Amino acid sequence: MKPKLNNSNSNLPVWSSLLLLAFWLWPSTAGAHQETGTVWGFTSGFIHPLTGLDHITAMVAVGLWGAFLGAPAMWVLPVVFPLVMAFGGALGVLNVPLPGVETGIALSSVILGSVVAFAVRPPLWVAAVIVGSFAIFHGHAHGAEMPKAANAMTYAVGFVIATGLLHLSGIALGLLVRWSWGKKLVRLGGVAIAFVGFGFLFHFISA
Amino acid sequence: MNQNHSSLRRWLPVALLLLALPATAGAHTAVSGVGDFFGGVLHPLTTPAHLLVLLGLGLLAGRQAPLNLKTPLAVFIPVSAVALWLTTTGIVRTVYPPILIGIALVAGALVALGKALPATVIGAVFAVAAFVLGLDSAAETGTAISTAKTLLGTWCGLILAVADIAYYLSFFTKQQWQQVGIRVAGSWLTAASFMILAFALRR
Repeated sequence: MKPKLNNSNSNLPVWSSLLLLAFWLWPSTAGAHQETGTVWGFTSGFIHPLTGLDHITAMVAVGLWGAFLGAPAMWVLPVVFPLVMAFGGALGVLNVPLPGVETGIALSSVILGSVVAFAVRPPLWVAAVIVGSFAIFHGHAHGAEMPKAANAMTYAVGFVIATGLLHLSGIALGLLVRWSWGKKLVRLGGVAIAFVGFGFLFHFISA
Repeated sequence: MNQNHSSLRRWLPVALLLLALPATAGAHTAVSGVGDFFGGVLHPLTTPAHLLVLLGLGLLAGRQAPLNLKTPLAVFIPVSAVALWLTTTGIVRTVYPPILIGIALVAGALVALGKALPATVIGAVFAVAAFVLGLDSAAETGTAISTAKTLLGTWCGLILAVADIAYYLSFFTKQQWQQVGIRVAGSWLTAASFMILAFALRR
């Protein structure tokens, strides 16, 4: 019969030693060249949409609105957005000037947050046009702000995946509309997103 | 439950030590040091542009239930073999990268559209992709045997990658939301490919 392994306290020094050893062996040299290459490109692209509150709120709002409108809008909008965003991204990469990018991004949070807050239910094509128009501004910003050293291929993959995951987060939150309290919560989320958008809008106008 | 717990405790130190292994050592191990054949097998998986194309092909072949790989593989296997053989003649050493990305874009767009496609369209996409992937997989210069082993490995790697992605994807085509997920993945692939094309044009 095996003895019981219940002596967790007696194992503590062993564990702490192992943990210390793990940290000690952690490869610090790998960070020496982190600003170039495939992995850095992906990381940089993935992090880019997650570092700006204006991007995050608009992406989540797309998902929230999609979920609010139900099928087929729930998946049409997250399909339309990255496709049009890529077009905007290409404009940014090619240095094609687009006026009012930052204002457009802020406005996207205001409009998308408002349509969620007021539970606006336009025809699908209207919703797709609204979402697509704002996607150009977001894409342009991502494309124009790409770090010079980053791997272009993995940067693009990273930022598309991050954007898509933000949409999915919005959809997941938006699925709360099945319940009446959830509907109120989602609309409240729309109000919050619109307010954040207003904040950015006033910031850009007053700057 | 206790047994699971104790085995977890037994393996955790090993996992920790594996985690602590210096990652820098892995910087060049993806292909080198694994031999010619396995280096060839890993080649498509370690080339981002190839991976994008293979992902697009896998999504295209595996998105519809029931899984039918007959047409795609009947085209992909011989065409990729011919293209890989052509690399030994030295006529083409590499392919202009935007061509590869363009194929990924087309495959992604077809997946995002979500329409049923005739076998000729699927066959054409797989034929072009197999030819371009094969041409872009020239082996490093070496002995004839080493080149043959590498190309054979690459051939196996390409076929396995497409078939595996399609096969495992076919488990996720039963529910409507799963098919929607595949279309969303197709749109992501299209968007990423479009951006990469723009980067390539800028240079």
